[in-house]
Amino acid sequence: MSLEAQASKIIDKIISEARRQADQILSQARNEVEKIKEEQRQKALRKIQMELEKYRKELEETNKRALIEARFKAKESWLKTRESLIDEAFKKARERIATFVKTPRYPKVLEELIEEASIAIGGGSLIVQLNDKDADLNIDLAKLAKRITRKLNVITALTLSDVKVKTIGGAIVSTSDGRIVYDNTFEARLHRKERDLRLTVAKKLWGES
Amino acid sequence: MSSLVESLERFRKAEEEAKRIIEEAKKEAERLKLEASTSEIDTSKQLEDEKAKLKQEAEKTLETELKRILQEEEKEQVLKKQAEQNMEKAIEAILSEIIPGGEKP
Repeated sequence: MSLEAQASKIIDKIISEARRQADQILSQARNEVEKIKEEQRQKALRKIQMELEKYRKELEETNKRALIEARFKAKESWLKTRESLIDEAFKKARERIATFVKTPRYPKVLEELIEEASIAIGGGSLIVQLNDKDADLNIDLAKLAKRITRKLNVITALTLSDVKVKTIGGAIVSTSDGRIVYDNTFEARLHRKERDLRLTVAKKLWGES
Repeated sequence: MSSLVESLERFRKAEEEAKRIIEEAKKEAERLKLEASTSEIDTSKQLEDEKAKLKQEAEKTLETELKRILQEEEKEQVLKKQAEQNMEKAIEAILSEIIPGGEKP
């Protein structure tokens, strides 16, 4: 082999070795690039997941608020309706009482109301206040007083007051010195019992327990 | 003698070429790595799509729940009707407590 041919062979070897090394460098770099890209993909994925989680929570919170508001409005609306229906029952009951006081049975009931108040006070010298119309019913207060006296074993006198009360019906009974007053008008009876009666009415209207 | 000198010159040039090939490969490798590390994946489109999906789902859920609440409001109408039917019983209950002996004994 000539010297020139031998030199060419060595030169080819030098160049091919350099190319092999270059390929190795580039191949290594490409592997690293892949690794970097994979890390970036993972990073991007985490970023998306975090953003979506944040957004999901925001949406949940918005929905939650909207539902609370809607439920509150529905509840509020029902409570208003419920209360207004109970009020309606009371209003109608008042109207019925206003009609009842015009019936022949009422004077007897008025006597009972006076008696109940007088017994509650404990008898004695008592003043009875009625409305204008009831004062004209000529309730026999003396007879009633005797009945109360018998029941309580306390001498009782009932005097009709000149002062008239504004009421649908019923009576206000007080001791003559005015220290004890028992308001047994229908309005007062309604007022005293309204709290319990509202529950009773609700039970009647909806069978609530 | 002249052939030997020529051969040495060719070796020197070959060495230089080899060096250049390796240097260029190194430079290219650095460029690739730099390009990869400075580039960022654009997530905005994917994010917007996913957000739109979530929003749609949330709206659907809300709609269902609101429908359920509306159905409860319909129940309110039933209860109102029931109350109207039972109103007389309620009035009588009040009257029996307020009028001794009741309205109609």
